Amino acid sequence: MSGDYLESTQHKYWTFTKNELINIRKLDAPYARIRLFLGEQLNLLGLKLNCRQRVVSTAQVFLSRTFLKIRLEDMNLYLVTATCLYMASRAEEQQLHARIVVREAAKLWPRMMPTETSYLAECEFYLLEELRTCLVIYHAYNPLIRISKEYDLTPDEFQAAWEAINDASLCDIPLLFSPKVIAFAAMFMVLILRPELDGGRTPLAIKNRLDILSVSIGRRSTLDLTQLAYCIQEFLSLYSLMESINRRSVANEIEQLL
Amino acid sequence: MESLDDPMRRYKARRSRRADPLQGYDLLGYIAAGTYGRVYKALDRRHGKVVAIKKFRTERDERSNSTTATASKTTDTTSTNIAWTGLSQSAYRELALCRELRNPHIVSLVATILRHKSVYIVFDYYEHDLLQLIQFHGSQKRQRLPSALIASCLYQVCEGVSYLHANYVLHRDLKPANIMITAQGSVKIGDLGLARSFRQPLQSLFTSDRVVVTVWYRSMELLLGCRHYTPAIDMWSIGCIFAEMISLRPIFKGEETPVLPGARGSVFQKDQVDKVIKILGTPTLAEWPSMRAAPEYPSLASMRHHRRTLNEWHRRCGMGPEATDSLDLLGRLFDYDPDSRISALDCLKHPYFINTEFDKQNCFKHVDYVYPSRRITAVDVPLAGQKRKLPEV
Ligand SMILES: Nc1ncnc2c1ncn2[C@@H]1O[C@H](COP(=O)(O)OP(=O)(O)OP(=O)(O)O)[C@@H](O)[C@H]1O
Repeated sequence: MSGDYLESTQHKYWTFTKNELINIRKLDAPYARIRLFLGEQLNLLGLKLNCRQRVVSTAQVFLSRTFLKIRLEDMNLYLVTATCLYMASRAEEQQLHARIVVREAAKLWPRMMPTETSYLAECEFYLLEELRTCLVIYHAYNPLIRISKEYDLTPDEFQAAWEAINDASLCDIPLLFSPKVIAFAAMFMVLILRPELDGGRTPLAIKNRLDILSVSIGRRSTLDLTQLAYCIQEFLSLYSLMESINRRSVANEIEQLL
Repeated sequence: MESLDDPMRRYKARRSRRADPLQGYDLLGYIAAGTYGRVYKALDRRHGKVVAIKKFRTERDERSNSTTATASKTTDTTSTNIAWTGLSQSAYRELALCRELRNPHIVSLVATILRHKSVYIVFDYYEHDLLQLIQFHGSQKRQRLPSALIASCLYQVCEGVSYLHANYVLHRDLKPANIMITAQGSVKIGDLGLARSFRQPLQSLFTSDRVVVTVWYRSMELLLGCRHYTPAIDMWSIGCIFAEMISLRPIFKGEETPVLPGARGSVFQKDQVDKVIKILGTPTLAEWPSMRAAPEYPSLASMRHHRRTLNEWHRRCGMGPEATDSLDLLGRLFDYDPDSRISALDCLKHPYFINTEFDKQNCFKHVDYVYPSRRITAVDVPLAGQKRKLPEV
């Protein structure tokens, strides 16, 4: 289903301001790095299970929302991660077998992942409740497809913006911004940070494009430029966290929580 | 007893201190058993209103596996004696879609409750459904449905379906039993357990579930094995519902050929096809060019030919020559070619709705009698009893 975003549960119940997120999470200080680490693990599991990007991204959103409702020490975080992927496969009508999810997760996270399938089903049940059974997720991919035509992105730029959207799901961006803002921010990230993807345009061509961008974005009354700026800022802090994170120590941290 | 290595131990301890939301409802009776669960009538004490609670059973699919695992395990690690199993995909869909959809002509969800290893969806309570009205007229009142009621129901159904289609949702199981009506005559489309998004299906809508649409309401392209689902399949079902309101019995009442358990693919529903072509005539390639590509086209081609008798059918239902609008609309809903079949939005603009006198909000407006209330059976088992013992589904 992909009707009117403004009428969606995502917009009504699951979009927050930065301050709201801080208030909800005051107890979970190490959240950002744990979330990033688990998000990367979730991507790996999705890869092992041959999941489509949309399934994995939906799972990432479920994971972020779940952490607004449970505490990090409440449940085995690997079980939670695997369950989010399982639920996303069902919500996106690409159902994986619970048994296979558990088997692959146990291979990926030996000793950490409970091997009994019934735990996955039980966890799914609790998460459905915590998520208030809101299972329809609006991603930034569709808006990106629309604007990439409008702004004439090269295939490489498009690909890079697509990947930026994937990265965004590892942090709070999907909880903070509308899919459209995320798509624009992803595009900007690429245009600003990856000029080599431009495909050898002349300076004049680049300037022309910047003109189109600035004029048309400025004119878009529905695109909030402040939001766009904040979103780009979130992107920048995500990438700096990605570079600085010590994955082994985060893994230990999670083990401590178990 | 909770085991120490339960991966959700702390969460469960916390959760067990929360109030059980089911305690906010008083069970008034039992309404019906559907394919996926049971429906109860209850009083929502907090909002002071009557609701319908649909309780889903959990999937049996994974159970065989996990039950044996639990049984063979030494008892010290079991925290519960029944293994957890997943929810049915149908429950998933209904939860996801009813949460998201909001329209005056779609059943409205009040709450979802996950307790006692079951999923409960709380809906507004609807006093009537279209099947009940049709049956009442057919067996007790023994007279046709008032034309204002037919037009109003059809109009409201089309409004609901055009909302679904605008949101890229196919209902896939439209039939009189799934059309709810409030005591005030407002029509609500229910049972979204088969509904699917068709915007960007990750899989062909065909592969994931084989059984769609009760056979009597199944469109010709589905009967011929087409795998490309479009909103047109819902429009065909609306045509069947329209016809059923006119004649008080299903227009194409075929005998369903059972699908053998474990069989791959679908079976050709020969009797159903026969019932359809006896009234609509054998479809021709001229009226439906892409029919040639349908998997079951050869099966159809080998069947006896029939000419179209829809006009006679319409007349036999007591519809006079003045009812050309109704006949025309019916014909457009039964357009064999899904690509040219009328859409829900276009239905709303059809002359039938302009030339018929009816009320767009209240299908009982011009009706001078009251339909009997929904039959409720008393239940002595509480919805969620003290010993967590719920009525079995
Ligand atoms: N909100 C409601 N108010 C009153 N009665 C209802 C309501 N919802 C459902 N019912 C009754 O319960 C019956 C079964 O509900 P529903 O169709 O949703 O279940 P189901 O398990 O999907 O059934 P099936 O697919 O076999 O039609 C309906 O035909 C209707 O009679």
